Amino acid sequence: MKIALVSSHGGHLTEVFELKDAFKGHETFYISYRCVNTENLERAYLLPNMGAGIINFLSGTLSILKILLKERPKVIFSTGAEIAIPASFIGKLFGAKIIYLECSAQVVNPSITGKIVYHIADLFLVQWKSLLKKYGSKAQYHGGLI
Amino acid sequence: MIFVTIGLHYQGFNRLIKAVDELALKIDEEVIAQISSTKYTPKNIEYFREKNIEEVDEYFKDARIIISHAGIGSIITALKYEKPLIVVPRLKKYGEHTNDHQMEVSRQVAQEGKAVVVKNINNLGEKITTLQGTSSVGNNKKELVNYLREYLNELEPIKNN
Repeated sequence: MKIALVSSHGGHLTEVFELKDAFKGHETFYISYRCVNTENLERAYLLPNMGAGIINFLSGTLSILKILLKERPKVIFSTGAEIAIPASFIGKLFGAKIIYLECSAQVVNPSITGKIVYHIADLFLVQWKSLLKKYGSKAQYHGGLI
Repeated sequence: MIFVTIGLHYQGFNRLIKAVDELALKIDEEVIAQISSTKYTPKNIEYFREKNIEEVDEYFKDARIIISHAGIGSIITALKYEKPLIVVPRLKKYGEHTNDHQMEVSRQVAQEGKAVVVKNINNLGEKITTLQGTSSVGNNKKELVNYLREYLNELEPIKNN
């Protein structure tokens, strides 16, 4: 099964790397931002940081549309940040299952990205039980990376 | 060796890097710091700005203790290698981050005994000398990986070639 692993660089990407055993046996590719941590990554589409301004966000959204049209993954898995928003909505439109894992930095307060993606996620996970009451009944806790 | 790391956030972390640079004169241990865009230039310690994740991992492995900002990547990596960890949250009021969200995870790791948190940078030296024990991830990670694997497998079982 083809899975798109979508995350910004830094800690969000570290979280994806730490979960690699979960994706073993599936075909995966990355959509992330260009930086020192991603330049050697195989099967990766690297975009300019979409958190750096509206122009980057819009051009990144267009790139994601093209990437998902070409790759047609069955699953979009994302740990945030803002890159998860266009990837999830476009992926949903193409019939992909949307899995969102709220970053472990969010202990008691939901992220803006989480609050948006929550509405369309097929599986919505948080990494702290304390965050469950801030989301609706769809949110689930099944462990975390810390 | 003490490894100091502040991640790749675009704002620097002068307060922490200056403090470890000054403390290095008082402690008899090598200090290496990853300083990204910090303006303060260390005088007494070895430092670099950015390296890729595999190279930075080597510093984590070699270190006796880790001092880091409260970024998730740094915390997760320190726990993975079971290193004693001191966390110094970046604060908005010093221009170290755009908000104070690093306090949130700092409180949590302190509460769970997975790291020592230093808010007042003047206390860092004392925490370095008194730091004991190791930190680790525990079973939370295994639970998450297994759940995700099962979920994906139910969507479409892995084909055995």
